[in-house]
Amino acid sequence: MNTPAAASKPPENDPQNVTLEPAAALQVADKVVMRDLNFYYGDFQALKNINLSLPDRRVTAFIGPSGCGKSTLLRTLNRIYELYPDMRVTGEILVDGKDILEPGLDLNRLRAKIGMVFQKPTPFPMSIYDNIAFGIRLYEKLPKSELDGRVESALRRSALWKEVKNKLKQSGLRLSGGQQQRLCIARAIAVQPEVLLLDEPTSALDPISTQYIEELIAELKSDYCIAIVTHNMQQAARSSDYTAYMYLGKIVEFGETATIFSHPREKHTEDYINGRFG
Amino acid sequence: MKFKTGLAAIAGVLPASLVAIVLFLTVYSWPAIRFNGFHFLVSNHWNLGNLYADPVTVAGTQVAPGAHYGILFLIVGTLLTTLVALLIALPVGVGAAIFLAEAVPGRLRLWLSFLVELLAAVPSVVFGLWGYVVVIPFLGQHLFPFLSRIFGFVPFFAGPSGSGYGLLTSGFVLSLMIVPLIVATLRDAMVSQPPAIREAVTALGATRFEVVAKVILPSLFRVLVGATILAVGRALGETMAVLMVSGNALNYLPHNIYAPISTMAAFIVSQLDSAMQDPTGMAVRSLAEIALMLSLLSLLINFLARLVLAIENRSARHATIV
Amino acid sequence: MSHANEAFRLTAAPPPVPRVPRFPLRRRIFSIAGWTTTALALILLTAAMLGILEMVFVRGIGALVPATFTTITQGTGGGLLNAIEGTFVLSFGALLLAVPFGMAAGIYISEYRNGWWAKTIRLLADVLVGVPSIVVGYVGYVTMVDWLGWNFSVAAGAISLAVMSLPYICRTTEMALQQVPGDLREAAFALGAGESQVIFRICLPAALRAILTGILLALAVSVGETAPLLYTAGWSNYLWDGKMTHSPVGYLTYAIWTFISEPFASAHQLAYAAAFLVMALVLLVHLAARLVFDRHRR
Repeated sequence: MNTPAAASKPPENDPQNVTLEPAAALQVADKVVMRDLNFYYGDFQALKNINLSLPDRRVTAFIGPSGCGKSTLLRTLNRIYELYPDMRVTGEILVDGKDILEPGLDLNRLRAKIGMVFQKPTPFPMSIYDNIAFGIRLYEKLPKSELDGRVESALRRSALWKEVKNKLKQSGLRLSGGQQQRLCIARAIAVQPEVLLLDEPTSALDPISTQYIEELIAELKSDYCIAIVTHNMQQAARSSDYTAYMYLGKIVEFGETATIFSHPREKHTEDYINGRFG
Repeated sequence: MKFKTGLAAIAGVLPASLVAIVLFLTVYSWPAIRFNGFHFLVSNHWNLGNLYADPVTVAGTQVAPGAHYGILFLIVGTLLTTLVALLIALPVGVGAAIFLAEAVPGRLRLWLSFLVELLAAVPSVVFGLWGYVVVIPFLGQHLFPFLSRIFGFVPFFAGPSGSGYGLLTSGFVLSLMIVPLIVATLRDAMVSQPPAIREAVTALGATRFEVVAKVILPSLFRVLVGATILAVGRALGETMAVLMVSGNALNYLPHNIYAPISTMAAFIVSQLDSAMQDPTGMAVRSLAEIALMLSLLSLLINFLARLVLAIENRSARHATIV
Repeated sequence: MSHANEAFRLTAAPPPVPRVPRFPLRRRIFSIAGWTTTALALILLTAAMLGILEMVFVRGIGALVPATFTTITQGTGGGLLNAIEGTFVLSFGALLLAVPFGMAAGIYISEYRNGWWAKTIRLLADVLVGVPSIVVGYVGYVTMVDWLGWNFSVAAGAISLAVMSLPYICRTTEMALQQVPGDLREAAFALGAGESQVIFRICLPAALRAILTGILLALAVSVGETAPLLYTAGWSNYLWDGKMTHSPVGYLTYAIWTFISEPFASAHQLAYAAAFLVMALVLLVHLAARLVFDRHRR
């Protein structure tokens, strides 16, 4: 639990086992710890022996070429992969020291504790207010005034309040793409999760909306442990504290974002960051 | 978990009702199956016997004296009407689908498709009404005598052209009922063909019609076969329209395409009233045997279509991977 | 890239002008004949449909009088109030029975689509669609009317109709739910919602319009059915007495079938009026469904 950050497995051709120690390690606690995590789609192994920790109140970015397993990794953290057949996980994922891969675990509670935002905005076919209230109502029976307060604060935190405060009864589907995505973030944080998983949250958005979302991430990280998958190198560099570079289901390199982008240890990482492949 | 189990149980009413239908028909018609034996299928003689005389015991079963149930004429009638319907619906359906998909522009295509597919929504009894009021007088008084005179040299086209009730009329009305299935399936498949193929063939110098007839249509052969099988399934079980235009022949095999016929489905309706008078119940059970045969036939047809379309799906998936 | 192009242009010989072969007459005739016959096929079908509509609506308008809606059938004359009422009672009764079970089956095979039970239900639903309607009516007669002793009745008729519409409702529910993006389900599960909450609060509301359209189409089919009712609902000249069993009930399709073969003009008028009412409903429902889907597509 108290490993400073994470020991990532180097690629097979590298004999040296490098331990990475971010400088900020002293102040951060690990919220999520993955140990010997393997993931299989049928016969295909999508994650290979992942050992990694996500520090609390920091943003960890996952980068790598398509199909490297970064989204899969995110989807193991709230076990959303279990919606589909033929998927199997081995290893451990500790959240606050408790293994969430245990069989008897209440999945719905787990998912309420670990929020997720997807690539495409997914507003539910109901009003803006009900979108936010949906998740809250699942686990809490609040009086109207308190519920209103929770909805408002979630919308304020996601910087959407000003734009929607006069049309809370309007359908969430009528918002613009960027607003919809902020609505989804608001919906996720309204449940008061502890971990926030963002799976390419801006890949379907225009640059302005992307900028809003990135500012929002910077704002939110003071309260949450955030993991973000992105295809956008600049986004990873701008908005994360730590970066993990993945390739073929393995973590090739993990470290402070500044280090990864300026002095990557691995040639492979450097090639990817500089756009030489992938 | 509990939710899923509950839902599964409520959902079970659907499969249960089908199983109940088939099981019930089998059990109920079992005495008839044993009494009728193989004769049922090959004998051309349906006779309820003397319903007012005391029942006699034949081979351990009580039946009305003189009762004999053979439905060869129904099997022949059902297969022939379906065949005639298919012979009309297939070329007309394929032609209409081609013209709709390739030659009719956007907005107009929507409405023409709507009209053609509306044929599938017209209730069977309205088809029967139309057949009775409009089609039969026209065919019986004008087209059939003409056909008989001009095409008399073609087998089954010669001979008395009858009143208009009969095989060709039933086949024609049935063809209109099954054609929307063929048109809709084929048109959708044609419209969703990737334009690259079309462009490639056009670039070789083929005319638009050649592209359709020589490349696109052959590539949709299996889709067409699947739709046709399903259409056959519908034609076999069609009741009301056939009942109203077929002439309801009894114990009679058609000698030409104008002759009256009857089909299995229509026969169940036309005979149930009299069959109910049979105190031994054997007549109703024999009708149940017909119903059982019809359902097994539709089962068979469905599996056949499924097989063809499954092969189609597999080859389609293969194509996308490669 | 541009350098390479220039180099290519400088060194390559100009492309030879292709010799266009004369367009053979045979091919031209093939094309013209092809378009002509396919056009004729489409015209034939359109004409048939318009012919049916023309017959039903022209003759039907002439046959409709206020008395059609206000009086019951008397012998081979009178009105159709009893049949109109009976059609409504039977069709809505059938929907009331078929919608919960059909939707449950549709939800199940959509949301748990890969299990053996879902596959079984889907297969049997397809088979049930193919079972001829007269077979369903016949089984209804022998079981409910005869064996259970309900006689010709609303219950026997509505249950037979319900069995016919179960597979339609099941498959349209499934299709509508499959149109709901998987992302939406994932997002709801990711918030910690359980299966029933995801289905009832997210998926069904999102698919509601398509499901309602499907149910409406099933209603149109029910209203047009005859064969399953002939020996289950019977026929009555009188208004429905409210009893579920032991009392027959009239319906419009029966009026079409039976009154057109009577030799009296008054009977024919009833048949045409009934056909008009049935077709008007079918046409309205299908037009509405088409408009809904057009808007949906856009």
